[in-house]
Formats: sequence, C-alpha cells, structure tokens
Amino acid sequence: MPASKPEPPVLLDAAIDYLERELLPMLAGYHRFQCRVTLNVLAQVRRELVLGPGQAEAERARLASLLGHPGERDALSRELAGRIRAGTIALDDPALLEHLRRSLIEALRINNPKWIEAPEGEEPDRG
Amino acid sequence: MPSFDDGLEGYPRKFGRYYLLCPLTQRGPGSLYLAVSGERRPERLSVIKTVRPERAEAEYVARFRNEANVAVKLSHRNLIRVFDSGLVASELFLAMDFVDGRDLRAVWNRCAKKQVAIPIEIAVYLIQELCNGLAYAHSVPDLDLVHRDISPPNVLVSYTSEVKLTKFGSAASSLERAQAVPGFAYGKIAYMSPEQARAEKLDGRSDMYAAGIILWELLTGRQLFPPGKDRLQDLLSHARNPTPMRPSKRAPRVPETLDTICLKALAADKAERYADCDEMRLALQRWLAHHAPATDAAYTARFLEQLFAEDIERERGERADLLARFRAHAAALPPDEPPRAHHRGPSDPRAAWRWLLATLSVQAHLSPPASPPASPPASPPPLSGHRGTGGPAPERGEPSVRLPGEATEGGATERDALLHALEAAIRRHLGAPGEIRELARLTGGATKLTWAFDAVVAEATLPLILQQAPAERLGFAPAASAVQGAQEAALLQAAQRAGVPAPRVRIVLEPRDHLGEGTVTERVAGETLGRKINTDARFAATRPKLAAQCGSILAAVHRIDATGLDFLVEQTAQAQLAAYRAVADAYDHPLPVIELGLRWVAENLPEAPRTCVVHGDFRNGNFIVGEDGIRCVLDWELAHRGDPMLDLGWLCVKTWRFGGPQPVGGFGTRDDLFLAYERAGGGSVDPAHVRFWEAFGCVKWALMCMAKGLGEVPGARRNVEAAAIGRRIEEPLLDFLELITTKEA
Repeated sequence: MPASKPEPPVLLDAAIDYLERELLPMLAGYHRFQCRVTLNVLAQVRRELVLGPGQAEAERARLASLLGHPGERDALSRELAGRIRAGTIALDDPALLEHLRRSLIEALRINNPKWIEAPEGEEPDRG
Repeated sequence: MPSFDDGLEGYPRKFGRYYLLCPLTQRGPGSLYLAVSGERRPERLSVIKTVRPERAEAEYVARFRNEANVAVKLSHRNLIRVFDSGLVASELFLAMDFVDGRDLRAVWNRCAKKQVAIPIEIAVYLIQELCNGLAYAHSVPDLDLVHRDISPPNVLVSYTSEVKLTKFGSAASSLERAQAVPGFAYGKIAYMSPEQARAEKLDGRSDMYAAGIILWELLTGRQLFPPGKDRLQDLLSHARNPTPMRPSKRAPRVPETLDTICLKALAADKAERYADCDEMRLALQRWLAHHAPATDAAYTARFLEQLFAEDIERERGERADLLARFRAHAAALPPDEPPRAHHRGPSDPRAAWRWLLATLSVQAHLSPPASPPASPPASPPPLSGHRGTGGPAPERGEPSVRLPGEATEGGATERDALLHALEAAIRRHLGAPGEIRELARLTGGATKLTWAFDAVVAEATLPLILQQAPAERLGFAPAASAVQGAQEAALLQAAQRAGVPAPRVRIVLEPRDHLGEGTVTERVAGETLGRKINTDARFAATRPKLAAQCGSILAAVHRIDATGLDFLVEQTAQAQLAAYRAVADAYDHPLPVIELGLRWVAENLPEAPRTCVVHGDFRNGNFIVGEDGIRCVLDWELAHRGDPMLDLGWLCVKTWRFGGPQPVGGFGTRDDLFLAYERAGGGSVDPAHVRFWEAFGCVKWALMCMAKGLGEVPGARRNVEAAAIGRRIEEPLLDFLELITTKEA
C-alpha cells in the first residue's frame, strides 16, 4: 500500500461525487440504472474499506471461540460450515445462532445498511 | 463454424506444414484454428485443432488421441474428414476439412431467434443424412465403432446443406475399447441412451437413440429430457428409464406418421429399435418420398441460406481477407516459430451454471417486474397495466437481471418484422383489418418477451398483450420446465374456469404466425409495481383488502382442475431442496448460514396436505392491481403440481414486501390471508407449514443471489448488476434467522 495520499476512501468519495452529481443527471434508461448500481457498489466498497478489517477480526474471534481453537477466519468459517452440514452442531445452539446473526448484521452494515437500520415501513425497495 | 476471435495479432502463423490464419472460438481445453496448407496452391481451407498435453486433463488428451486414431480411418460425405494428425512443437494436432456452415445447435438457435420453426421435412432430411453417416461409421470393417456423443453441437450443417458428423473423441472402437473405463457413462446425458446411462455394452443402436432424440427435438422445438427440475442423478435415472412422449402430442404440428419413426428409434429396449441406422435412414427417406418428395439438398440449402443470409456473405468476406493477408505475409513469416496457443479453462463451468439456472428457474425470480426500463423512463409507454416501467430505486442493486441474449430494445427492422407478423396473425385469428397501434416493448419477467399493443378489428379496438417465449428457451440451452405457449394458454383457461383472475387468452400462436411460441392475451389496466402498490395514496383504501383477496384467489388456484394439464411437473419440497443443495455445492464457498438453512429445511420438510396445481411465483409484483383490488394474476411460468402452502409462504417472503410494513406482500396480515383462504374452500391452513415455505423461500432467494453474484464462470468479469446481486445474500438470510428463531406471531 503506497504512503501517498489521498487515502482510498477519499479517492472513492471523489469518484462517487462525480458519478452521482455530474454523470447521473445526464443519463437515462439503461445507463442511468447501471450508474446507480455502480454507485451502490462503490459505496459498499467504501464502507468495507472502513468497517471490513475490524469485522473480519471480530468474526475470526467469534469463530475461534465457537469452535474451541484458533485459526484463520476463512478456514474456521469453512470448518463451521462443514460441522453444520455434518450435523455435529445443534441447529438451535444459541452461540451458533448469535454468531450467524452478528455476522449477517455486520455484513449488512457494509452491503445494505438500510436493511437493518430502516424502521418497518421504510425498507429499501427491493425490486 | 465458430466465429472468428477479434485479435489477429500474430497471424498468420506457421504451424508444421500449415499456416494458421486465425483462432476460432472453441470451448474446452483445446484450441481451434482456421488454417491453410502452406505447401501448395490453391490453398485449401482446413481447421486445425490442437492441445498441449501437459496443460489439459489426461482424459481430454486421451479423447484427442482417440479422435486422431479413429477419424483418420473414416471417409464418408456425412462425416468430417480428418486428414492429418501429429505433433508440432509439443502440441498434438488434428487437421480436418473446413465446413462453411454451422452446427445443428446454432441452426436451432438461429431459428429460435428468427422465430422460424424448422420445417418438418427439413428436420427429417437432416436426420436422414445423419443416419447415413452413422450407418457408414458403424459398418467400417474391424472398427466396431460407436460414436457415443451424438448431440446437436457435434453435427455440422454446411450452408449448402451437407450434414457432417464430427467429434469422434468419445467414440468407442476396437482401437481403444481396452482402455475404456468400465462402468463409466460417456456422452451428454440429454442425448444418452438407456443402455449408455446404465454404462452397459453399446452398439450402433445407442447412437441411433441419440439421433432419435435430436429428431424429436427438431420436430417439437423442445428438449426431450430438459434438465429443468432434476438433479444430475435424476437426469441419469430418466435417461436409464425413458418414457418419451409422442412428438405429435408435444407439438401438434408433427404428423403422427413421424411419431412411429421417432418412437421406434427411442425404444428403451434396443432390440425394439431399428436394426441399424441404415434402416432408420430408409424409414426417413420413405417418409420424405411419401409426404414431402420435393425435399432435397437444394431445398434444404435454400432454407439455410435464408436463415443465415446475413452471415454467409460476411463470413466469406472475412475469409477472403484472411487469405489475402496470408498471401501478403506468408513469405515474411519466420520458418519455425511456434504457434501461439489460446488455451482456455479446463472445463466449461458456463454450461454447468446454465444448467443450474434452468434447474432453478432462477431467471424468473431474479427478474421481478421493476427491471431497468428498456426504454428511457422519461417516455414511458402510454399504457397502464401489465408490466410497468418503474425506474430503479436509488442505491440498490435490484434483483433485476436480463439474461444474455435478451435485447434491451429490438432494432427498427426487428420491430417492423414483428409488426408485420403480428398484423397478419391478428387478421388470421381475430379478423380484419388487424391494424396494430401503439406497439411497445414492456419490461417484464426475463423469461418472456412482452409487448403491449392495440389491435383494430372490425368495429372495435382491443387492448392486447403479446408474450413470446425467448430464444434461449427454444434453443438447446437447457430449458427450464417453464410453462408457456399452448400449455400456458391451457393453464390460463383452466384457471379462468376455476375463478382465478388470470389473463384471458385471445390467440395461441401457431408456427404459421412466425412469432415463435407464445400467446396474445387481453390487456388489463392497473399497477404491477410492488412498491407503488404499497405506497401510492390511490391504493390506500385497496391495500387492507388485498391479503384476503390473495387468500380467496389462491384457494381458486389450488382448485384448478388438472385434467389435461399433465405437462405440469410435480415438485415436492424435497426435490426443490435437492436442487438448491446443488447450487450451494456448485461454488467452493461454503457458508455456515447457508448450511444452517439447508439443514433446517431438510429437518423440517413438511408433509404436503395434498398435491394440487401451484402457481409457483404468487407474490406482490406479479399482480395487476387497481383501486378495486387484484385484477389479474400474472407470470404462470413456474406453475407445477405440488404443496399448495408453497404459494402462501412465498407470498410472505420479506423480499416481496416492497417497503410495506405487513407480512403478506407488504400490504396485509397472515390472519387475513389464511382466513380468506379457508373461507374460500382452500382447506385449513397450518401457519407453521406456511412458515416453512416462507423460510425456505428466503434460503432459495439467498442461493439465487449467490449464483448470480459468483457468476457462471467463477473468476470471470461480470456485469455490475450481477456482481451487486451477490452482495444481497445476507438480506434473506437475516430474515430466515429471524423466522426460525422467533415464535410465531
């Protein structure tokens, strides 16, 4: 990672600003829709840059505690998936459910914060 | 022949005694080139197929060598001539004749695209020629040959109507039988004979069986064994115990005289088939002589030339350019430069992925109605009802994905052609003058092309909707078990009789309409966008009534008399689970929460109270709503026979609430839905049973997101919409966790 600035989130903000304020108003139809999706994706990446590292570490720690041994996050996650599939962990295990719920909520903070933030009645449109 | 790749840098290139002119597109680990012999003039065009043994799987290399050994021993006008093989700079190669034409799958796909049915007599002629080549190959002395991979992509058809069989790589012969893996089934499952699927001993009649399947498919325009609803094992088990329908039953245009020929070739017991391919060829020849004596090579060539009119000239021009380039540069080529190989991936995950999509009918779910507008939203078509043209919601990647091949807007010529065909069809079916006004392409479910128009007949102007099955569904790409065309019309009529507000069918398209498979239905005015139905002030008084209306409509749906609707497949919860399990396993990305979902579904599989007609995609977004309530229920493609509670559960999945606060479609309560369903005679509702289907619905949608986001070719570039959908996977999964961990409301 270069020491040069601006940092990645700032670069992304500049790109998002251009797309949203200058390009989007000129577009219609197909390209307008694609541009909106692109803005959405860039916003996800921006949030992940900020939130991602902390979330990954928290998830790794939860997995290690759930499985009872240390390891990399992806390897632990794979192991947990295998154990659930094999039936060696109960589906209603509270620690398991809590871990999964937290992981989903954290992912949604990056992928679609409105899904968890919006009060009912103001859910994001889904189609 | 496959089309040219873009880049010609580095070509022409010397390759042994050939010059490679350009790479041809090719799937699989080998490379394919258009080439000329470098030693003599005039140059003869050939195709060079190469593989680097160290970069391909052993089995592919073995098949390559096998093809070289077998094919050079064959010489017949209906087989591609392989005239050279060997090794150049550590690459194995085969040299074969160039065919100025396409493979049979491409012919089919073009017909589908142009909405032309392959004429019956041409289908018979093509298979007669194929049988001729097979009869020869099977009878070569001492070779004891079985091709084992007879399928449309392996049958080439020149624009001058020569039919040539290729790809002898999987062939079993006396040359390689010793190396064949015992008990292993070779070939494509969709074209596999029962004995082949059982990995039993094969003979020429197994290839005959595959030729019979191709004939069946050319005649009916459908796949005989669509992998639409089954797992791989089920497909194999179908292949082992086939029960083919009479072609004329599947497609009324087929004369019954052809049923006999087709079904004899498709007899499950090979002893009951024709004795050999020559006998089948004779049967086809006699049929032609009796019913279509004018069908010959010239007649077939005229059809093909028309079908590919735009391509033939262009391709010939491109080849002339390549040859000119070769002549200009041949002298300057370094003598022994190795060819640049264009290696591709070890296998074709795309095919597997398409199969999965078809298995799941994912298309329909991935494409709810608020698709990106095909026309700029600034100028929406002046039509209400049916599919709206709602713009996308800001900031969200919507689950609205057009499938490849679905045009965003037809070109002017295409539109004119459609207009003319449609006017003729209206005159034919509904009467003169048949003038069409206000023809507008509507965005809609990606499984169909939908047009709205007004037709002037006699004294009235009728508001109508045209729905056409898209090309992909007609092609050899695996078709889902989607209900469309005449079948859909039959279903809609049965639904009407049961009291369901279903679209009223005015016309079932026929081949002579040249509009492909589809229907013309009456257009109903109203709103389809779920978001608008849930937020627009004009529906404020309507919304409280909708859940109950859904209940009574569903009771009627589940009362539909299935007599005559035997095309509706039966899908149990268990079968659906197996299909989605396969999706999860298709990617090397095991997620604990998905595993939890699938295991929960497996452990909670309910007993269906009964089996009846199920709509399959009954949800907000598939209704036309007016101030008076639901006026029409759309999108019957996923109808099947199964557990009626599926429809109630799917209607409650949070994804289909479109911003509404209530569980049923965003607009109503479960109590309203259930009570109305019971009162309308749907039978008693067990809320836990409905919740199972709602929870399973969440898991299904999550896996659709995964499949879309991770793409058909893992690691390949994908469009931003598809990529964004991959990141929506947590939404339904969180809903799922909430559903299974909270007490019932």
